[in-house]
Amino acid sequence: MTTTTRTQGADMGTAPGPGESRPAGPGPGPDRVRPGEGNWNGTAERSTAPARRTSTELVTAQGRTSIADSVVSKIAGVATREVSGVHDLGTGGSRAMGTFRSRLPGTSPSMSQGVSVEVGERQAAIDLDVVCEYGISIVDLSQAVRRNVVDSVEQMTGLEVTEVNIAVDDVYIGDDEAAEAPPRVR
Amino acid sequence: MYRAGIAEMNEVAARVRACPDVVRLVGRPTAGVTPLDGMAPRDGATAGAGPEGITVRVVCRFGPTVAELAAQVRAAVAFAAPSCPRIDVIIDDLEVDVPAWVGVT
Repeated sequence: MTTTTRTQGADMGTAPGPGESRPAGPGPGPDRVRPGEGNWNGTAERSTAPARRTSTELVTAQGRTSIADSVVSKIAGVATREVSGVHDLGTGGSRAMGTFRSRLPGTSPSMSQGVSVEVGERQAAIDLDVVCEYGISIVDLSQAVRRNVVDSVEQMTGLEVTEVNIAVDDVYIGDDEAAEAPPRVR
Repeated sequence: MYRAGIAEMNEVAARVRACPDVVRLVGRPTAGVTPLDGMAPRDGATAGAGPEGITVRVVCRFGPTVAELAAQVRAAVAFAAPSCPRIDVIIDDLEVDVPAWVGVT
């Protein structure tokens, strides 16, 4: 079962309820971020955005700083895993592949697993697939994840995060077999 | 049009590699014009219309902000090529130190 919560990055106080599904409006698509800066108006649609935006540092008189998608993916992945209650990231298939890859020698777990981003010149939109732990309020968890991801990405990159879509893909119950098995030696 | 010699570009590459938060260069620094979208080709073979300068694509360590990383790289390039009018930096990837990665066992 997949539960999706969605809100704009700057509107933390108006997070939707746990039963809200992903709307068909500004979903994943090329119109979520505006890559060009020629027709971009920073105050046209985000009058409630805080004034802490630092994206102007990316385009300076000395030159331009471009950020690849994988950079934002890793920052968002690390910020998501920092939140208590997040067990893993990714859908079932990607988690299975990640488990397989982690058993190969010389490999490290992928930080961008379960994270998909669209990065423009000034803005970024992030989609997360999360496995939460049992007993955690999913609404509180999604708000905490969203807050941490927005803060981390905006602080580290200077990009404005327009939206963070969180899909709770599974609930981790726990490894009961390990707890119930008696010790083999005393 | 800004033109840099091979020796100067080698010096740029060496200076950028010596930055404390730069893990490695992706490709080689390219001199001339910068592509419109800001993403330089990996082999430095093609270029589009845009301001002249040097483009450097790097993989950095996780931790500092992108502005700090770009400032490090720009300072290194400016030291090696002081006459370059424009330095474009492309952060291609970040390397995360997995033991410091919170929440992962």
